[in-house]
Amino acid sequence: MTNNKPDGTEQDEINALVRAASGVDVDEAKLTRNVLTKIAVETNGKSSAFYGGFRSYSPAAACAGFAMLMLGAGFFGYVLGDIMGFAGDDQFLLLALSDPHGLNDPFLDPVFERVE
Amino acid sequence: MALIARGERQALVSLMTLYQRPMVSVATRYLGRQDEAEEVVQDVFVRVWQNARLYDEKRAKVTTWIYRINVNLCIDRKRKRAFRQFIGLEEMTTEISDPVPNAADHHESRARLNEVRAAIDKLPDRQRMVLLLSAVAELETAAIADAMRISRGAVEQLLVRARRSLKAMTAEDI
Repeated sequence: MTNNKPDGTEQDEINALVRAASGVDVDEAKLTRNVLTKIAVETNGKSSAFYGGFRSYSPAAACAGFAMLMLGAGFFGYVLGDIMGFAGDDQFLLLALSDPHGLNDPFLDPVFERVE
Repeated sequence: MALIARGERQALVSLMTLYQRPMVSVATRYLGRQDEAEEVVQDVFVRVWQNARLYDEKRAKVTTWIYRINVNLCIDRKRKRAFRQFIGLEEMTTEISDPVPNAADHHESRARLNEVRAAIDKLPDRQRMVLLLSAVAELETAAIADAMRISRGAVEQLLVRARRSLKAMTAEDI
């Protein structure tokens, strides 16, 4: 290592070396073509307002969509249960716990028996 | 930029002709992979096309603005790759591209250039980016500071460290 070169010269030499080491063979025409294709797709995509708007954010849109679906299903179940009067019926809870006989199952664990 | 904002594709092509080669060089040396670098640069120009209306010439030069997008997308790409490697979707090995010999290789021996490439790849991310923006993109300190959203002092410090490390890592005198 030599330190007897002026700073400017040394910097220039390092820059030149970095430039030479960073040289890459680029197919500029292909790159330009790809960009123009992407832009064309983008422009056409925006014509469908809903899909076009969400397209760039597909992972976020998918999560948001799923969350909305779950919320909607929960609300629908709640309203339906309320209207049809089975919202407080724990038969459904047991059914959900994979007991097809519900409270009428003779082998039901006494813990689950209904207290009248 | 005004022409691009008006939808003139030829203006974008002219801009690409000016900047795409140094941008691919910077991104390739920063990311270590030319295929990823080319994707990043394509995305940069798509962003330029989409956001040309938002460009404010009072705030930054076109070069600075474009390189800022390039830097951001390179960092994003690197983070995504690190995450994919972390969850096992991508192997840890990075393909360090070995460029096709060009005019510069006639002046410097191939082995020497490979040594310099390896040394650049070993630099910390910020030092590497600052050095590449200075040497390859030929940006001034102020422009680099603007593109990387750091102070001029920090750029100068990173440049000094990068050059010192590069010099120490390469065997021969620079």
